[in-house]
Amino acid sequence: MLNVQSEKSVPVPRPRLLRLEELNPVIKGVTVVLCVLPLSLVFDPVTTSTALVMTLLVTWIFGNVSWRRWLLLFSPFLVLACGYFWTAAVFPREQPEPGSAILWSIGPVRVTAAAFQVALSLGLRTLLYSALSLLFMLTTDPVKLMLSLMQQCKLPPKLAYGILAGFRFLPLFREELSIMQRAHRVRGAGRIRRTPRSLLEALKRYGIPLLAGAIRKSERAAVAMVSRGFTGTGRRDFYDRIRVTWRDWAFMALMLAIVAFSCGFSYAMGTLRWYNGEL
Amino acid sequence: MAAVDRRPVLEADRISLKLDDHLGDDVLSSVSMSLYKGEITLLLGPGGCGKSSLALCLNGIYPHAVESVVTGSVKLFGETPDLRHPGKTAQTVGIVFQDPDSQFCMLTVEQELAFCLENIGCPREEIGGRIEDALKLVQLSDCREKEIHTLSGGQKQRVAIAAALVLRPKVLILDEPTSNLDPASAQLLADRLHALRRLLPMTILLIEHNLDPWIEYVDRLVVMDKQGTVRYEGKPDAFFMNQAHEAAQAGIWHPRAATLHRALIRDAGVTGGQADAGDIPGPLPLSARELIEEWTGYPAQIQKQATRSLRARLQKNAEPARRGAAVSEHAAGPGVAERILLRAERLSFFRRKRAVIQEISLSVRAGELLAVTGRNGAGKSTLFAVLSGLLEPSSGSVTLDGKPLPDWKEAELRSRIGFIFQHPEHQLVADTVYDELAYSFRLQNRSETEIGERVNGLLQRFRLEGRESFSPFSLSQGQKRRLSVAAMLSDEQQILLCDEPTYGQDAHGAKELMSGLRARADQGLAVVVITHDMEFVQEYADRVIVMNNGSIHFEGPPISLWSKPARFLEDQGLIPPIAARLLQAMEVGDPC
Repeated sequence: MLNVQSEKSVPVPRPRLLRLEELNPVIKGVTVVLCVLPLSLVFDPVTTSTALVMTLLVTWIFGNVSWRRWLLLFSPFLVLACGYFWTAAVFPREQPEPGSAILWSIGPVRVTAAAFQVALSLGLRTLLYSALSLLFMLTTDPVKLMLSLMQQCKLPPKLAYGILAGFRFLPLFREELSIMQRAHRVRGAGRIRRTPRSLLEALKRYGIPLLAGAIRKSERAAVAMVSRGFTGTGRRDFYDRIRVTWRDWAFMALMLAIVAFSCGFSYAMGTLRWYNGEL
Repeated sequence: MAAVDRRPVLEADRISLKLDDHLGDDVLSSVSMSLYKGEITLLLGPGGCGKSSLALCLNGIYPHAVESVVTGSVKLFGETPDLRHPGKTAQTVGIVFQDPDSQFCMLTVEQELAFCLENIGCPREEIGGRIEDALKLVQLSDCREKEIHTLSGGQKQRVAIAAALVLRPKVLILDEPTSNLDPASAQLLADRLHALRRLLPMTILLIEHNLDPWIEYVDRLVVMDKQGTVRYEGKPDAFFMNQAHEAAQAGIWHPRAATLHRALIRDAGVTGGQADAGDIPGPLPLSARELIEEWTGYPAQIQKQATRSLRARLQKNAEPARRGAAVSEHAAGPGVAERILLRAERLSFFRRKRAVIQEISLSVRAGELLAVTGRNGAGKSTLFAVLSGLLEPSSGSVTLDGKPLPDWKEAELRSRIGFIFQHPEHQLVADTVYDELAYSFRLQNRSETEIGERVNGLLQRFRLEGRESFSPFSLSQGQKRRLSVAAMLSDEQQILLCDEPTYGQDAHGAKELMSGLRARADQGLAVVVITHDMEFVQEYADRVIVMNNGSIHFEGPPISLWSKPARFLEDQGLIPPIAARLLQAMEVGDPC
């Protein structure tokens, strides 16, 4: 069995020992969750930023990720993190401790060192979680993920293949919406004013045909699936076996080591703090 | 391939189908038909008569997977198959659907075929080999690892056929497999399928509007009427010979070779004075190949008559009389006095750095019908969006009546340029048919009484009376198309752009629509039509533009397109109309 696997992957060039794209999706996902859990107990900037930098390194070294795409997906979280940072720094939940030094102030707005610490942890934490999620998302093929969920987690095929069929429709929807916008503009119905009534009207105008189209497409897809003998029940002998290899365990060990190292490093620096209801 | 064994492979006995939401209204009523071993049976019928539903009854999807009431029986090799188990059914009756985009469940070709085999519980060790065999049959072995959405329409349909074949079905049902393809891809698919049945013991049921690529391979014909019952079952030539009139009335496409043959017999017969020319001598040719064989075998005198008649036929577009009011003099080439309504200069449009159209210059004159054709994905639809001002060109300019498009007010531009989209549903904006037609009048702030009058006029003209309060989405495909055209035409646009307006229409609807568009052009308005149908181009268009890879590869009257080298036409995915092919064949045989 094993040599069948290796036969199949012969044409794929493998310059690196560990490739995120080739890992088992379920184990990869579980690893990410396992990293998030302990990290959510820690609440200091040093641990979080160490873990963040190392996550980025792992993504960069072991993943084949387009950085443009990564930045594009990361940027909303960056904005969110800045927002969190600002809110938590300027408007801390608790009254500033009397002993805490004031870092800077403009009129009534002042940032104390304690509030700054909390805000920074919070902002970095957002970034860390999104970096970990992107590590998973950008290196995982949806088909492989579904196959893996069926093979390792016994997800019912009915659900898994349904999701896959739906996944195929997403780009079609976008295309259909843009055609429809043009078609409506031709009819003189293109202008949507920013009033609630007008927006509601637009939702109805685009929503109903899109839904009607979606129902028709899904019906067709369902009929096509049934006519290919799909029942959604029974045992399947999967052609593409998604295996769990030592690489998956190595990746999990590496990621957990990163978490441990971050905490240890922070402890050595004397900055490690557990989460204590700061938010 | 004469079948020696006349025992039917598949036998449908008095099948009736009722869908739950149409209680009392049968989709199919008492359909009986048989498929014989190794034969291709063609199922014909007007739009919406339940052909596709019949296909789904035969492979057990009705009533197994879709709630419905089916009576009657389906027998396979004389036995009632266990159609309750879809895995078994799929191995018995394979099916290929019309829409290449909504019949796949996976991303790559290999995954899709593996999915089929996993479904029927095929052992893993056999899957790889069976995928390879199936791909070899449809000649797609080099596409195994490719993602399905990157393939062309014809390739996608071949993947769908492979997905059916990989389960080794006894019967293959093809539900309008070529309606989304350009003519050359359609012909290729038909040829491939014909070659396939020489390799495999395959019985094929074909449902198709577009007869011409298939007709020469069809062994038997089954015709259904609007009520969902079988009207004819037997040899195709007998049907088209004896019941041509009924077929035309029911909206069934006629093989174009047969229509042309009749017309030529009439022309040559009248002038040639042949005794037997009045009634049809010998069998009626149905395909282009048969027609050419038939006519090149006739005596030289008749051939000469036919050549003359064909030339006249092909040239009728070039006659100024057909161009209506717009032409002033009998100048060779397009008259200078013709008014140019829309002019595009060096248009380019880029999508994600890829040139979708590049450096296109063209003009649309008053009183002409301009056809735009070319392979799928050549940039035709994008060109239309740019010409109508819906998309901004990356470079170049479009002028309407001498004024650049950006200088026009949106409302005014829309009342000058009409646009009919490929799918009528996309264009519908209102809740009822009446409101749909009244929509643009209301935008113009006309009085309700005036609107009422105009809408009633439109309802009558487009045969939509009695449907005023229906939801546009509940109409049939043909009615939806008429509604979308009626709603668009409620203003008198100078220019009408139509993106494959005959898509999904039966013979009757398509002809009606095209002659309506021709009439508009004859009134001195301009019509631009995207179409794959070269017979329509020949019959209705004054000029034709061939696009490929975003640029114009040919521009001129249809007749000069047909005389281009075969190699060029093949590259563009075009097949000239039958009349042109016949003329060419006769001229080669008799260089006079």
